[in-house]
Amino acid sequence: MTAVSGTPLFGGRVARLRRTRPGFLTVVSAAVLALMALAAIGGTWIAPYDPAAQDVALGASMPSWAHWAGTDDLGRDVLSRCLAGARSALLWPVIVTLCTCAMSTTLGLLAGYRRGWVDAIMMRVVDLLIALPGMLVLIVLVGVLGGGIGWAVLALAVLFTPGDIRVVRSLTMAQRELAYAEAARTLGLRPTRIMFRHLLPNIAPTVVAGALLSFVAGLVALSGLSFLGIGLPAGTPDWGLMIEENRTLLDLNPWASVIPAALVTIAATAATLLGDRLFERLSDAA
Amino acid sequence: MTSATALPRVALAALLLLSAGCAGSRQDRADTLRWALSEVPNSLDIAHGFNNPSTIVQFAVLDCMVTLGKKGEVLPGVAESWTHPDPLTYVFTLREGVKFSDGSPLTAEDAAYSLSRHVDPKVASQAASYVTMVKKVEATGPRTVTVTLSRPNQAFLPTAALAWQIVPKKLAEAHPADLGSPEVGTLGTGPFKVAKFSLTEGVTLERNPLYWGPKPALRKIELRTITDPETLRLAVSSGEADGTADVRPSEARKWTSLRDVTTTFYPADNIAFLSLAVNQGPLKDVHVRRAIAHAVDRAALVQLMTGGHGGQADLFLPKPQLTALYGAALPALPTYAYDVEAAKAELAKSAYPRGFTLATPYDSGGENVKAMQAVAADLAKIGIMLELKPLPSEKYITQRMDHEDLAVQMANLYYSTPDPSEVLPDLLSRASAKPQGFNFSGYGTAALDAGLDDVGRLEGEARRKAITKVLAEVAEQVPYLPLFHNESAIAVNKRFTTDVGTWTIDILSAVRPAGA
Repeated sequence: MTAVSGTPLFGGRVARLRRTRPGFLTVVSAAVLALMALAAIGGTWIAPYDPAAQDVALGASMPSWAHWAGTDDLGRDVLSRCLAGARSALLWPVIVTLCTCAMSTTLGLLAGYRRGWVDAIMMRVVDLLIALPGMLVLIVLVGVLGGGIGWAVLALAVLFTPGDIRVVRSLTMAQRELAYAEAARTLGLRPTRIMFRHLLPNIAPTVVAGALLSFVAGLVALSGLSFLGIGLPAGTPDWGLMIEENRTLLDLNPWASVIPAALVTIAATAATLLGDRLFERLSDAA
Repeated sequence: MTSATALPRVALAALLLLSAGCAGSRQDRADTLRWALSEVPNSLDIAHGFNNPSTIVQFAVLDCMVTLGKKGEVLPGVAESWTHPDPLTYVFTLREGVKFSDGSPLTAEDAAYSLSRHVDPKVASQAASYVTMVKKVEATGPRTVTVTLSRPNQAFLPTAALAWQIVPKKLAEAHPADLGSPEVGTLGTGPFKVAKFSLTEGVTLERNPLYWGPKPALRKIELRTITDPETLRLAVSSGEADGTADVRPSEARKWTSLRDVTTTFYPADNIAFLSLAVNQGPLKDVHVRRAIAHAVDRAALVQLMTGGHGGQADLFLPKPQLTALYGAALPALPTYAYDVEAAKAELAKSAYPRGFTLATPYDSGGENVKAMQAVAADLAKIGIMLELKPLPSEKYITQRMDHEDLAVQMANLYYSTPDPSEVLPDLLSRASAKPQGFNFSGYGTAALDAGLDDVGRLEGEARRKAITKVLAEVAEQVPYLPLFHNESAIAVNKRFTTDVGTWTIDILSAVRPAGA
């Protein structure tokens, strides 16, 4: 019994991963995300100005010694808003990712392990949700529900989940036929224990890679919604919102929209690269 | 002719033909105007499309009974003259020989029906509020139309220049609900006729050869919609579009710097204001409203929103109307200078000395997003926190017109006539304080309604006094805080010229090829 129940984290892959040397891109991606996470935590403290402080008389201005990235047309310091904006730009996609991951893993394991009518019903619902045009549904949904980031996050999590359910389900179906799963069933372990303690560690690399992709998709989608003005309230320091609010200032201070746009791109690229590398390494370490 | 000599001749002939063709296309291009709109015109009938993009097309196609001159004075339109035998009666005489663009003659029946249809419930006209003073419209002769008002109203003639668009009775009767739609179209006596109307592909107008007035300078007008302001500017800049009237004053600097484009500014008949819902929560307290008036830095808003093409508004009327009424000597009424300490002192007199929080929905796709942020920052200094809540444009407009969650709203309303009887009842009467009305503050009293009636009824100095009294009440009670007035602008490629002013109704006909 101990042979099948004492599985270390990710089936021992994390321990083996520690012993392998990470690649350059992995290190850079992780460092970039770590820096952004630091900005998300302490950005408002290290920002040179209050991100909300306005100086309408100053208006939009190019970078200077006083304002390294210039100001927007309300006279707000762009650098301070970029630093403070990391919080909402990263926090909400993380929440989307956690929700998506929790729902898709649970439902995917259930469908793949139980099969039968549970699987059939779940897959038809998944088919239906996948057929919906995601961004359009999101815009309509948020519009009908009256806007707000809460609804946007919930809607994104629901829209991202079906694709991940399919992946987890197919992996689970393959794993459940293997000898270790058969042994666990023979020993009389409860299905939930088999799914979460034995099958889950073996499909973890894909789940982790999927989570990072969900993060990227969430980051881009929420920035898009902010750009459309139906996510966060006006004035909130947020990269997507900054791109939208400052895109008319390209002649006065292009950095006011270029920098947040670059930050979204860098964060998305770093998360994608890290996800890919983690998937490869966790799979290789198996 | 040998082949050796024939070849150069054929080539020469081909070149001549080609250059003739090019000259022809240059000529086509010279009298064809490609106009850009920022929104889709939804109807070519004012009853169903009382909005900027639709009316700009309507006024090029449909004549009105009267029109406005450069100073806002009422001039003959399809009616060559009119009399005003008593305060309630107007008798119009139609021009002779006016024809619709299909060749059918305009009759007094057509003209009478074109006005009376706006009160028909089957039509559900968006211009109905403009004809509430009309009691009866009759064709009293082959060329005579008599209008009887239910009460004297100075605004009748100016609003007739806007809302009394002439359409054939037969067509309008057959299509009460869908006249002006892409399927039905419209028919007018104006300088242009509709060649194509599609919600997706735009509108094409062609010169109306039967037009009774001077021959239009343009042969053809192609209108298409470009919703994004940056794309619209780039289209005009690159020559892909020849002009637009959708220039945001806050972006004036971008337009004036365009080569090959002439941007003309003129005073707009508008007023931008904050409405304070006097029937809700803390805003019931006049001291709170006065505190807000002192706390908002309106000079900063002017800079932010008008790009140097506007000014601070202290009185609650569009600037051209104030100038027409008072000249340079505006009446001395209470005003609220930007003064945070005075604002705090006013708030201290209220039941909310430490401030409060208000949920404030706003149009996330509108022009006022930045201004609302500036207002929220100003009010935060005295403890009034606005929780800005973004709503998609459609939902916001529906919610606002249903009078839901009004609290503090910002609006910049443009009017079309020079008469205060259009603006003031619109924003201050109790009748307008209901859903679908524009009195977003909800302020209104029987005495004020009587004062508004006086504004419509009286003439001369008595009328000016009545208007001053209404403005004084607004200044005292602050249901609205006037913010700024601005200029409108029209941008056209230098191949064209324009002669557009505050009271120009038919903008497209005012554009001409340069040198024409």
